[in-house]
Amino acid sequence: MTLAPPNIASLAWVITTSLTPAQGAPEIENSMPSEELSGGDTTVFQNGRNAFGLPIANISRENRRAHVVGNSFFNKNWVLAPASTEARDGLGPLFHARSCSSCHTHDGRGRPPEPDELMTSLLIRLSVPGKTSHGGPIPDPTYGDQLGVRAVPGADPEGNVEISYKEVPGHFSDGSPYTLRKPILNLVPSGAYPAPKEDVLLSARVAPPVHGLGLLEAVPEKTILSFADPNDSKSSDGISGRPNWVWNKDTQKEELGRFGWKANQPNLRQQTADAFLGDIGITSPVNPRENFTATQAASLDGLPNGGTPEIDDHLLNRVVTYQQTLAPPARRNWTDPSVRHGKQIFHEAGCAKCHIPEMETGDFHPVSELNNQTIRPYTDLLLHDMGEGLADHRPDFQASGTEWRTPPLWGIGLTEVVNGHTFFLHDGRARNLTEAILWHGGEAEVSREHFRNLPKQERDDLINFLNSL
Amino acid sequence: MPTRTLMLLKLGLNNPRRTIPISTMNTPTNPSAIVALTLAFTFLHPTIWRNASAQAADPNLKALQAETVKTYADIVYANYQDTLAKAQNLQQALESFSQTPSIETLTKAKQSWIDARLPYLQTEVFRFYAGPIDDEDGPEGLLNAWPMDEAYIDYVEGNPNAGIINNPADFPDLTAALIAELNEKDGEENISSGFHAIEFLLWGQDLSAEGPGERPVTDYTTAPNADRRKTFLLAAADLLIENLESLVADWAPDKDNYRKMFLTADSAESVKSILTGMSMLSGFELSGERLLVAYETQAQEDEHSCFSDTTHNDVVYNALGIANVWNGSYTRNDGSTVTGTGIKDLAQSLNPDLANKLDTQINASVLQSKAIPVPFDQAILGEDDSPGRQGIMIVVASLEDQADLIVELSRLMGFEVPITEEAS
Repeated sequence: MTLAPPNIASLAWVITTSLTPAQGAPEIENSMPSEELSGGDTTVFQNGRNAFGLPIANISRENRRAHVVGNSFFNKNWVLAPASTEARDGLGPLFHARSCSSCHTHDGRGRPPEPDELMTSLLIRLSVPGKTSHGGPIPDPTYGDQLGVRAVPGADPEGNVEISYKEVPGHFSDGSPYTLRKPILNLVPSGAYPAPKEDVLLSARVAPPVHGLGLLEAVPEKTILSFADPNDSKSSDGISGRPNWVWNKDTQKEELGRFGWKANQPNLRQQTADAFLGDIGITSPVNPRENFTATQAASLDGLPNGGTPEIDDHLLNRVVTYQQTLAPPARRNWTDPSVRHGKQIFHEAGCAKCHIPEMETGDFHPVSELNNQTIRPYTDLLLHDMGEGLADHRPDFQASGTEWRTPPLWGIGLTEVVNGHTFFLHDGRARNLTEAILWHGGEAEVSREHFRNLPKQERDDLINFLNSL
Repeated sequence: MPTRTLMLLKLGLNNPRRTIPISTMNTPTNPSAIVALTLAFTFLHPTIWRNASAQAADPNLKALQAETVKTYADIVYANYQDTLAKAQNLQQALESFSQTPSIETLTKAKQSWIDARLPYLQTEVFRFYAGPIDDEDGPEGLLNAWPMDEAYIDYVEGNPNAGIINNPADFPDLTAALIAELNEKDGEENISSGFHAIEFLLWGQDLSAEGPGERPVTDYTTAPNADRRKTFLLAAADLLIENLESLVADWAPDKDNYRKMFLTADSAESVKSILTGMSMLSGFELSGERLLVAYETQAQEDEHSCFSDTTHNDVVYNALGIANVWNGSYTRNDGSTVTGTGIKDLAQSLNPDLANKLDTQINASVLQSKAIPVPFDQAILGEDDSPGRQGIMIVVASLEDQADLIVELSRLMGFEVPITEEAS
């Protein structure tokens, strides 16, 4: 890491704004004291490749130990069973990757595969129309709810999805052109697998970054619900915001969904356990059965497994604690005039109506360092209709085929440093932040048009602001 | 506060890295009080200044840093040379064993493996800053990756036909190049190379509580694919030598190589790399990955050198490697020493109290590591008040304290080194 140049100016700015609250400059610019501290006391100050991989700044030694142990099981490969390392065997039989970090590289964001590359940090969800008794999507009877693109020796992968792109041209109001690319998915079964059913629903999902998730889990449910406006009756601004209500396998109850591209997971424990099963083929107390369908059982049931379950409750919880204690990075360049102007545009365009800048965590989270923090995640954790352009037409609990959860934006400007790319949105179709904004439709159409109508300098200011997050 | 620190502090009054306490003071306050507090905070907060320029302005400190970096490079070079020499002994022992497989030649090969680990383990403090060992194409994964996909290499209990060795149809020719390639297959590691692959091929799975793995000599004589097993073993050794040779070349003096870059770079940056290796091995890799994880899982074989039951060496010689860099002194295979200016001397010049604390801690970690009961896979078992488990936690705590002190030292130098998460 290179040392930043001397910056007396930023110190001066802090002093000035502390002295003159709400004087002169537009209120919006100085309305958030400490706005650079994305995670309150948990915020870390690292702009390099590990920017998403650091434990919360205020972590206790006890939780740091849990973090380190969890990190080991997040990063290290799971191996074929049987192996001497009994705590780490049981890969597959079908799997997407060998470790969490294969997809959440440096705890960051995944990307779509290159043209001839077998997908790793992007996966394919599958279902058939209808709902399970718990209200969730019905898995495909042959393939299950996720395409198994890899398999252990003795088993066959299910197949691959070829992704091709259709160019969608457009232009800004000032006449400058742009081209978006829309992915087209084509499932190619492998070996013995049959062609998928006509009505199969496919959805591509990249691995989201995992920093700051504990803080999102620590936001009180009533805070999230206070953002909701399901019938747009509160504000009549064309923006609804609906909670997803999803099945919690531990409590056997319907609960508020918070995590995943469609907010289909109630907490990090279930999110993690489902990823262990779907992505690595690791059973857990949450998911005691291996990840194959009744149709596949004949060929896969006899293969060696890594114990029952393959990850026990203690270690599963360590991996959960690891993610809960990954800190959001502090903002950079937040006093830069262009960034400050970009922030103003962000509000004027209505982006902040869903990407809610600031909220408080509660006092209930078991990782007590996460409690009572003022955080700046830029999300409402709610579902919004994003229009036909982004739709996957695959409902997930109460999320419709056109609805997506507002993803948090903290750290988004470090994506390139951490992960070496700038592919955004659920399937990584956007090649940069500008394209990501231009894909916004539905409830966000007015905001997108606001952006499209801006002169270039102001568009750049908005992007600079996003890159400062 | 020691004089040196004060001086650095004054010179380093620039570039506030964080401004939390200032900007959280958003309650109405006397403006001049805020300015005063702000300035006081700037002077007093240990992480607020960056003093690379301050150090550049102090010729004595700069000279001391340069000497420290030079000594470090000498130690790294000697340590990799020693590892290579021991690995060459291992290679010879493996050749003798494969020519004449017997209990005697197998025992000798095993002892050579244990001997080669000792210098290698001391080099692990040279990791974690994207240097030659673990930069983007560094050989760390090929040399020491763990856990082992043992069923990817050879048979395991319950799966007699598993592994590359027993799959001549798909892998007709077993070469070093093939092993290196397979290690990277699927964009992730299938662990098929390095010290632990050789360990597995010599000892086999450790299926007993009392001792290490007991691979029969017949695996290399009459068992199915015995010749392929030999070929794999020798190819794995070739790859090991090849990678160690590249590390020796990277650190050799008077060459246009990494060492040259390391010595000519801003010495503060090189010191930062050195401290990063120390803090990461203390606070993350050794205390966390190797000790805490095994302690918590209590899985008998969730230990670094599970086939040979030599994990105790991993702990002691990792801790010793940190002490070598701290003291600026390394004892070679032949008993001679490479000695010069250590991080200790640099720390003494900055803050003697901190230097003394670190010195005590680093020495304690080595001694306490030696006190963990052997074998390690038994030490992790039982109740928390068992001597083994207590012994492990004493070392963990000492290494954690050590890591925190190293971070404190780094702040005195104007930067902050990490103690968790791998840099590669």
